[in-house]
This record gives sequence, C-alpha cells and structure tokens, in this order.
Amino acid sequence: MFKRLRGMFSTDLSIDLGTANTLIYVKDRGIVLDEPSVVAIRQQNGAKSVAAVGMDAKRMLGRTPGNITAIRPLKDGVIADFHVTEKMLQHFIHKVHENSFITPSPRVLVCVPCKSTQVERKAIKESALGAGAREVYLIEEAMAAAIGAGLPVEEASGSMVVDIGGGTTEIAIISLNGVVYSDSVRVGGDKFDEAIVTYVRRNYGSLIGEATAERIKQEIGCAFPGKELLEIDVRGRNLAEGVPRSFTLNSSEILEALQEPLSQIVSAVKSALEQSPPELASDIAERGLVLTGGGALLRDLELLLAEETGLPVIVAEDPLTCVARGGGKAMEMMDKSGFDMFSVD
Amino acid sequence: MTALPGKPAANASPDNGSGVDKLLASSPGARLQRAREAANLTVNEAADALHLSPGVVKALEADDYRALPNATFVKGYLRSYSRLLGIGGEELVRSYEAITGSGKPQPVQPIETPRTAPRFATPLRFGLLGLVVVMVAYLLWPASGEPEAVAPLAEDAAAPQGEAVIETTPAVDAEPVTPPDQPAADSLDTEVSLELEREALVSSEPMPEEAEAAEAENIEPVIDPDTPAPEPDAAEVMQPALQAAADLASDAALPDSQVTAPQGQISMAFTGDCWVEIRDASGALIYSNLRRNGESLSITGEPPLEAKLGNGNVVSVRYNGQPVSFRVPPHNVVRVRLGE
Repeated sequence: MFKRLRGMFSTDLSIDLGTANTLIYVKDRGIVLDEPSVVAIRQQNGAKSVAAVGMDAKRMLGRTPGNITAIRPLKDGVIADFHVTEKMLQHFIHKVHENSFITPSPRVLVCVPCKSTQVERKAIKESALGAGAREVYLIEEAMAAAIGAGLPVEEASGSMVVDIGGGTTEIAIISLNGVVYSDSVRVGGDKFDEAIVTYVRRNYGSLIGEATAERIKQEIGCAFPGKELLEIDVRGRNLAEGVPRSFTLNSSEILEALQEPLSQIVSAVKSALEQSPPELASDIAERGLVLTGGGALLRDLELLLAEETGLPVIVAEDPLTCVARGGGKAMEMMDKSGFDMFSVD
Repeated sequence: MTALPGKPAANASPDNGSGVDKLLASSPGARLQRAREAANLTVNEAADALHLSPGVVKALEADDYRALPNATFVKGYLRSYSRLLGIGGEELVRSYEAITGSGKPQPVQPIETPRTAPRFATPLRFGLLGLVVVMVAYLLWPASGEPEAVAPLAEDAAAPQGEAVIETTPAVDAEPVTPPDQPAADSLDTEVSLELEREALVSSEPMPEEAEAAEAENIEPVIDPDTPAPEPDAAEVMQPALQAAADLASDAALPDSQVTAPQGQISMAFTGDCWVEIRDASGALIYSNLRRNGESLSITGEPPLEAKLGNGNVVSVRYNGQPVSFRVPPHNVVRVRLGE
C-alpha cells in the first residue's frame, strides 16, 4: 500500500542496466542518468558500506586501498553480485528522484540480454524490486535497442540490430514488434579491453590496467585498417624489470589485438543472417543492419561488418543511449497498448 | 529520379533565383553528387563501395527521401557516403534533418549528484508524515463520526420502550387487548420508523437483520407502548411488537427485561418437515432438531427466545398460549424473537 502511495510521487523509469554503464531514461525528460555500473564498497570493522557509486566509484577501480573494493556488480550482461546491484539501483533511483520528499517507488522497465536465463532475469527483477521499484517489467535489450535506434519495428519488414554492449553483443532480427531471431554472444567492450591488456603484456612485457586499456581502445582502437595511423603513449609496469615504463602503441597494433573478439562478433552476425527467414533477409539486405551500443563507437567497426557481410551497415545515432531511450519508448507504447506487448518474464 | 515535392530543396527549380539556387546547391544530395563527380566515381561504383543499390544512391543525390527507408537509415547512408567521398558527414546529416524535420535524440542532461544527507532529518520527516495522516483522518472524520451523532437519538427512542417492555410483558399474560388508538399510532409511526431506519443503518448490532425480518406493520405498534393495544387483531401482532420493542431497547433495556421477564414457552405444531433451532436470552442453543409432519414441540426458556425455522410455511407458533404470526420470506427460513 505504501508502495502505491509512494508511486504517486515517482516517475516511470526505463533502466539500461548494462555491464559497463547504467542509463536511466525518464519519460518527458530524456536520459537523466548515465553512469558506470561500478560500486565501491568500504569495509570497516566487518561492516560493509557503500563508499561510492557510478562515476566516483569508477575512478577508484584498480586504485583502492585494502578496505575499499571497487566492483562491477554485473558481468556479461547479468548480475554477478545481487546485493551490490540492488544497492546500486537504489542509489540511481534515488538520484533520479532527487527532489522528491517521499522515498520513490517507480514503475521500472529493465532491459535484459535475450539469452539470459530465467534465474538471471529473476535476479534482475528481484534486485529492482529490492531497490524500491513498485513494478518491474523486463524487455529484451535488442528490442529496446531497435526501438531506440528508430527502426521501424512495428512494420512487417525485417530490421536487424547489433547491440554491442560492455558484456554482451545482442543480435536480433525484428519484425512486427517481435523478435524473430535473437542471439547473444558474451563478447563486448570488456573483451576488447582484456584483449588489449593481453596484447600489451605479450608484446611489450608490460602490465596495464583495464582502465588504461579502455582509454587506449577509445582513443586509437579501430576495427578496420584505415588510412591514418593513430598513436598513444601509455605507461605500464614492466614485468621483467618490475618498474613502470612508458611506451607507444599505434592503431594497427590495437587492430591486431582486437582480432579475436571482433571475429566472434562477425561470425555471430553472419550466423544470424544465415538463419534469418528469406523474406526478412531480403529486407535486411536492402536496408542494412544497424549498430548500437558502446561497441558501435569503435572506429570503423561498421566498415568491418559491411566488408564481411556485404550489407550496408549503419551506426545508430547516439548509440550509447539507444537501449535506454528505446526502453522508455517501449514503456510509453506499452502504456497505450498493454504491458504484455514487449515484456518478457 | 524525380525530386520529392514538398521538400524545399526539391521544390525549387534552378531558374527561380539565386537564393533557391544556393539552397539547391547546398542540399545534401547536390553536395554528394558534386563530391562524387569530383572524385571521378560513377553511381554504380559508389553504390558498390557502400553495399547499397544504385537506386538508393541516386535517391540520396536527388534528395528523394520517399524512396528511401526511414530517417535512421538515411542518416546512416549519408554518413557512410560522405565518408567515402571525404566530405563532412555530420553537416550533411544536419541539413537533412533541417529538410525533413527529424530531430536529433535528446542529449544526456546530467543531473546533480544527490546530497549525502537527506534534506529533512528522518524524525522530522516522520513527524511531517504523521501530521499529514492526522489531517487526513480529521478530514475524513464526519463520515465515520455519523454513528455517534445518531447514538443519543437511538437511546432516546429506546428509553421509553424499555419501560414499555416492562409494562407490556405482563400484559401478554393477564390483560385483554383493548381496541387501539389508531391515529396516535399513525402519527408516531413515521417518527419511529425513521429512527429505526437510522439505527438499522448505523448500528453494527444484530438490529438491521431483525428490523428487516419484522415487517413494517409489525413494528408500527411498537411506537405506542403506552396505549396498550396497537391493532385490532393485536393478539397476533403483540408478540412481534414486543420483540421489536425489545430490539430497539436491546442496549438500554435489556437488563430490565431480563429481570422482569418470566420463563417463556413456545409451542409449535408442524404440518410438514421443518428444522427448528431455539436459543434463549443468553444466546445458548436450547433446542435444535428436525421435526416431522404432524409432530408438535413445546419448549420453555428464558425470554427473549429466538427461534429459527427451516420452513416457516409448515409451522404454527404460539408463545405463552398466544398465536404468533410472522412473514415467511421467499427462502422459507424464518427467524422470530419471542417474549420481548
């Protein structure tokens, strides 16, 4: 009863609970929160407390003293640490309802990977409820991404979306508001970072952290050999000498480093195309496939996929926020035409 | 490929003036075409490089967006085409948006980080909440306060009738029924039945049920307890009258009636099978059994006695020798209270 009362003072939220970033979209206000999915936990006299969440916690990643652990509660698109996820969601929901007097209890729509198991979905649902949500609806990430990218999902024609997130890559073929084919591979931005760390250790004998690897990826990472060669100076701990050393990486090296995760994504896209019904395949061939998610920002990824598939490949506008925006739109559509329209159990 | 009518760039013909010329020259399609020609590419070569069909490339160059899929795709095509030709893609997309009016999605609006301490200290919050609850309760009070307003009325009505019970109960045994004072009964009639109704509405006691069971005409006599006989055939009505009187008086006059009432005797004759339950004044079940056709039953107990009859059509009831009439509802189950 109190939840319902509190619900009157809350706004409906669409949450893209991602491995790397959590985004919250509020109806009529747009994206109001975009923060890393990181929580820093302070341990004091055996009692755990949240030291920081989001941006502040991310700065602590890999730089924490003994009594603080900065963790990412989601791994591969699903919850790895239930309680921490709940705390994080609670923090974000409060942050969105910053100027409300009563503890918020909004209706929440959360996006889940299409290949997540029932247990994983239930965990997400439960943690959203635990964070104070009144009602929780789940929607497939790829569907939200397609809606957010502005694809004509309600038409009787195939649209293909590839959402490369932090933990997973979601591939879906959508027609008539439904998912015809979907696949989820556990390759994403995190795997790119790991590949860069591994590459640097092997070729330079130096250890770099994940935050550095991410910076390298963002600044000079590319997926297709381009005309220009970019360079970056990084510092890492030399394994042989045990002291920090500075060295320079260039984009072709990073391209080489990213070969393995990229080829996994390419093969998943190809297998989706192979398995799509012929009518939908022809629609996709005519219009092309759309990239969303943070991974779509990797330089020349669309060229690589276009080259490999022979189809036009388009990067959606503002790919990072597609899922959250799509979730918000889906919620509005569901409000009009019933909540079983997109939601999954 | 013809240009789409209604679009500014497409609408204009070159000889319309320099402003239109400029607009036309700066349309995304025209710029793409010029860039492609400058790069010595044919439409087919460009289409191959972009993995698009030549038709789509031609439509892009003619600004014919009707032949193209929705805005998401067109923007994507414009970006990749301009990248192939080495011209500013974003600029083209902006002018495409200006032409078609399809806006950019809202950018992220950062919100302030929340204060670590809540604006109100928790006790204060709860205090305020409590205050709100009290105010809401106060506003809603009249609705729930109604019974209290009526209660004194009910007591007023009950008080004289309590006396009446004392008077009339012996009358049942000893005094013969005298002719009624009809007009007096009528005038009082409306008043008391009003009270009765009100009491039935607001009281949570067994009252409503009984007020319902006792017919209106049965209740009428109740009002003039001081005029000893309410109706011409008062012998029949007497018992329900007493009963109803006791009903009304139950809160106020119950002790009195208990003190003054003697043992009551119910006798019943059955012309069919009927379930019988009889309870005495304390509510204790003193008899319950199925009586068959032709049987009779006589029970003594402390009044008021409450009888429940499974089939009222087959029973004739006498209380202390006086026949009792009652209304049989459609479901045949009759509850009568006797000796009040």
